[in-house]
Amino acid sequence: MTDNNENNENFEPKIIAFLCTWCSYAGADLAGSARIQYPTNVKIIKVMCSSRINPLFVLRAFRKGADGVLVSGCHPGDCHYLTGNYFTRRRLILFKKQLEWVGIDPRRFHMSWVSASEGQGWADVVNKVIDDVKELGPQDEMKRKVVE
Amino acid sequence: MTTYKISKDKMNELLSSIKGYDVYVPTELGDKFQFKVMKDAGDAKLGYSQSAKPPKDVIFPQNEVLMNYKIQPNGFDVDQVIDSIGKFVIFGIRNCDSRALKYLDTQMLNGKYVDPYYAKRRENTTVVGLACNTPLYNCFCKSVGAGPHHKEGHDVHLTELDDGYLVEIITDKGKELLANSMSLLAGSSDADASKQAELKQACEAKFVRKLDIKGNDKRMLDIFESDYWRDVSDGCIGCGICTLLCPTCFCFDIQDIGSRKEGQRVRVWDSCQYPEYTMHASSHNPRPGKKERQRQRFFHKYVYSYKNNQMLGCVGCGRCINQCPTQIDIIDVIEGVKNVKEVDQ
Amino acid sequence: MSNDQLRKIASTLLAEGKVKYFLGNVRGADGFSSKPTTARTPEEANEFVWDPSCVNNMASYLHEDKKRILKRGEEPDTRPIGIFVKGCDSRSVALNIQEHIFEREQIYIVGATCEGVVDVPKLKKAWMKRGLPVAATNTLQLSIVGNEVIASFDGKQEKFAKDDVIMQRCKVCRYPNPVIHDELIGEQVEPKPDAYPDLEEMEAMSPAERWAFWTDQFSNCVRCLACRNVCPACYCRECSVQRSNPAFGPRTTPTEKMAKAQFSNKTPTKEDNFNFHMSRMYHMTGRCTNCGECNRVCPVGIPLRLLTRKMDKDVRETYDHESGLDTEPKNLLAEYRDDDPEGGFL
Repeated sequence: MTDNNENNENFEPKIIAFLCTWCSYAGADLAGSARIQYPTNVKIIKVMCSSRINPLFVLRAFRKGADGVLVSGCHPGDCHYLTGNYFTRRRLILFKKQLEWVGIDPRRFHMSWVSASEGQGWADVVNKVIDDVKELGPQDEMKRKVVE
Repeated sequence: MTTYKISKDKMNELLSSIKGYDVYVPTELGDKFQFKVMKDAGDAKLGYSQSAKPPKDVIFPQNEVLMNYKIQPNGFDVDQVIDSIGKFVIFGIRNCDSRALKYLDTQMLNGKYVDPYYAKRRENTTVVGLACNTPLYNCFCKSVGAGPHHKEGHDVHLTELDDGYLVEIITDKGKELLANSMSLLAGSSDADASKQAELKQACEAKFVRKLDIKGNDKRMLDIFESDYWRDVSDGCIGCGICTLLCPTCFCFDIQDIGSRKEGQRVRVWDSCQYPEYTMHASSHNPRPGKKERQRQRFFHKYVYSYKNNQMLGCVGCGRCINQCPTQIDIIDVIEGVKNVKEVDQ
Repeated sequence: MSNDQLRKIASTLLAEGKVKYFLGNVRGADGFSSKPTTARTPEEANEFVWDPSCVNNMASYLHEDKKRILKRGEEPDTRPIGIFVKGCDSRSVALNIQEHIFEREQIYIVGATCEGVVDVPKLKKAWMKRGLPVAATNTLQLSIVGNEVIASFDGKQEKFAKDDVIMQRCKVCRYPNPVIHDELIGEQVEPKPDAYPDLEEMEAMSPAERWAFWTDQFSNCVRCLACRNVCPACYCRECSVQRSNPAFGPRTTPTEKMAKAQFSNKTPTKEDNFNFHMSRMYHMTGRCTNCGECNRVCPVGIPLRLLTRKMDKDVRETYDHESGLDTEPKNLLAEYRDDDPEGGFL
């Protein structure tokens, strides 16, 4: 774990965000059209439903060098496919606990519910995630390195 | 060959006096032992029984980078890693494992195609053998051509005596290795030599398990299709422990890791115990079940190797027996061949 | 513990042709351990043993039946498979039935109540330490009485303290009695209290310490895949961590890439091993029945059970779910409740 604050001054984290197309992606879209300012560190990957996110995708993002990962979907009960995000909820909560168990800081991995009308909510989530990851510094533990 | 003696407390000094080499010594790993690069001479546990993983991975590493590549606008860069291979010492190798290196040589260095990576590493490696005084229960090296006190394949041979180690420098490589530390060595007496012979005899008497290999290869070919192989592999779970931990197994797979723009070509150990190993592109698998895969292991070690290189592919270290989670016992299996009644048509 | 009872049941079943084969243990060559085997005739079944050396979870061998490719013109044998299970193994069988890998009537379960099984390497060490004869193991018989493991050979008896030689997993076993069975051997055994003493040490560590611990452990992994292969809950024909054709060319389409996505490379480096073990752990979430076999088979001694036990604890605390307790279809990650906890969402 890096706690080097000097480095963190200019550190621009890479955040991978998996967004469901019906709520969170539309929310991010709204934030854009409403001209709400938020940092540009987030790289968005759109999926049809948050339950499409296999936790292994998260691991793979870390493995490819992401400093933080965010998964976002509709609020429980609002899923376009009626029940998809209920499954996501179970999966990700357990997955986060497992990451903690092997010693990964839980602030690396975030989950949120953002609806299509929450442009400001999306910006708040992104700010929170970036603040957390900036505090932690670059992620190097899970990143794939060259074979020696 | 010249023989010296070194007292036990000076052994650490000897180890630290070796410069310019990566020195692999047996170190503790939980309640097992493992060969690792020595950082501090105190790590070396020369009184070890047997390492969990054979030291073949010094010469034939589990992950071996063959090249690094990078595509540039005008062509591509290839970084040949082979030039940066350093020098190694395997310190305290048992004869079973050093005989396995000799077997690997027949695979990698003989004939028309020489493996350059292996050859380079082999060339750069100095082997310091350590005679074995307490064989484990499942050791049977004596039955398959090796022996606890054999010296073949060693550059320097050590024998642990009560008050020190007998150091026999056998080759020029060995001389070069110990050139700096000659001051630590003292002359040896005849009493030491007779003590060594005594230890040798005592050790050979300690072997519990034996294997009679005479005529087994012909017999095994006769019963290739027998249900015997199904029965012996019933308990197999298809993991690769027996092959990955075998000092003579040399199968590998080549993987390209990275993107199209840059990456590495890596050689990784593979195992004949995995279904993917023989899977054809047509998705036909000539060794579809564990019966065929286990049979292949026994046949490779006891029939094909002998036919091709006049050397058994098994050195009797007993690792596959000790570590098999389901107690498949190669001694029992090869001995049991004699009792099989039916013969292939 | 009763060899005779098991032998009688198994050989009768085979003689009457009620099962196609019977999965059980016989005595291993070293005399201490037991060796999993398949009995196809009553004579073979008469070699079976049931004593504290039977560590193997026979449920892993059930999958062989599904993976076997029939010869051309061969009719599938529809008779049930006979299997010998202890308490913990019975949960693994139940899990396979819950997940519709097998139907209940396809398996004939002979259960045995279990007071614990011995950690064979530990027993061997204790044996050697006392200087007992190695050759005596030909006639070795083990049994557990009270707090002692009794080894009898050649008319002599040797006693070991149960806590010293028994498997770690048996010290916290909550299911010593088979949860499903067609026939039962032995008297009911008192389960151990519901607690996780084995996790306390790890829970007290800081995240950085835990990370250091696990990377150190994972760096030893040789990726022999024994933990995967021995697992009774791992039955995929093709494993997501072991692909035969992972190469991507310029013409590989996104769909193909997705189907072939590699979550860990074949190279056992520290990071790849981390990925492999995390994937394995995640796939077991809510399915693991805590038989502890992965921990036993690991040749480099990675304490994999610390992962699975923690998972078990999380799942039970958060969702009150436990797999493999009955044959009703039930799967943690394929179900939900409206009022599931929301912890951790922004």
